[in-house]
Amino acid sequence: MKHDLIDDEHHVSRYCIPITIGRNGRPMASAFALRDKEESLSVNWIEYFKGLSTEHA
Amino acid sequence: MRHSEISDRTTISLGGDLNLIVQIAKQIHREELFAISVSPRDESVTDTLCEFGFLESSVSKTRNIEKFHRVIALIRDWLSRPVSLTNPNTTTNNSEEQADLIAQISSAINYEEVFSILDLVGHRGISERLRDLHAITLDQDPEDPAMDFQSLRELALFFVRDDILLPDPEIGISPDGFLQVEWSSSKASALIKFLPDGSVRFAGISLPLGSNEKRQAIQGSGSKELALQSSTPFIINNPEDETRPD
Repeated sequence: MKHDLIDDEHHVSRYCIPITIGRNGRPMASAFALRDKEESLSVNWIEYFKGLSTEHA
Repeated sequence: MRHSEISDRTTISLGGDLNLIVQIAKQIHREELFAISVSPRDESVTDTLCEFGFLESSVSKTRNIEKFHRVIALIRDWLSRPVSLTNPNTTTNNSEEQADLIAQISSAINYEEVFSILDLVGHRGISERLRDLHAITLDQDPEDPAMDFQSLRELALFFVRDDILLPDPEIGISPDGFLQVEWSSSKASALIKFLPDGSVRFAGISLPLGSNEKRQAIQGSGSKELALQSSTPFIINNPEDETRPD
């Protein structure tokens, strides 16, 4: 799965820790910065879960 | 790509109105390349991005500096209501007070001391946000970053200056624990990251100046003064803009 290309029509989501969310509820730039030793930004491929129950997802 | 639990966590989606802030993140974390290749809009923006950054120490060597200043002037003219860089109420009589504030911040030994100084000089919005952030860091996952105290000092030293007028920014903490402030509007965004050594990293990006123009972007690192001069044109003091549509 890693490095797989995702269709342009598909969606990804990312968990943003609270200290990267502004008072207006929007993520700040720091929400997209890599941590030490991280090689890529971790996201969830929303369409991957299509058809799965909440428990399985 | 990692698939992890998403059920009880705050999530956001990339694309759309997030393009500006993602571009800012790319500018400030240039060496930390994102591995996302799923947003065609994001990629197209990158392709047309007009960018040129510089380090303050190499200003005299770079040929981009003239172009940099020209773009700054262009953006300043183009943006409807950029913030005023100079506070008209500033007098030289309070230089002693300024020196005292700087000394207090420099010698502060705990977070609350710095927050209180910001309160004292009228930056209650900033101090409250910092208090909230600090409280969150005390209660969060140990793997998430704490608020770097020296970075907090540097942020406070920046905002207690009485010779500038800036709207209260959004404030966050980067993965390395350093404080970042951001101003965003429908036309432009700016970001300043406070490093413990007193220097800053900064970035700014605007929408295209015209229908056939490219986006304008700057990024760099150096002194707070340089960041202020460079970023101010990207900061719009327009309350109506704060409620830009999603």
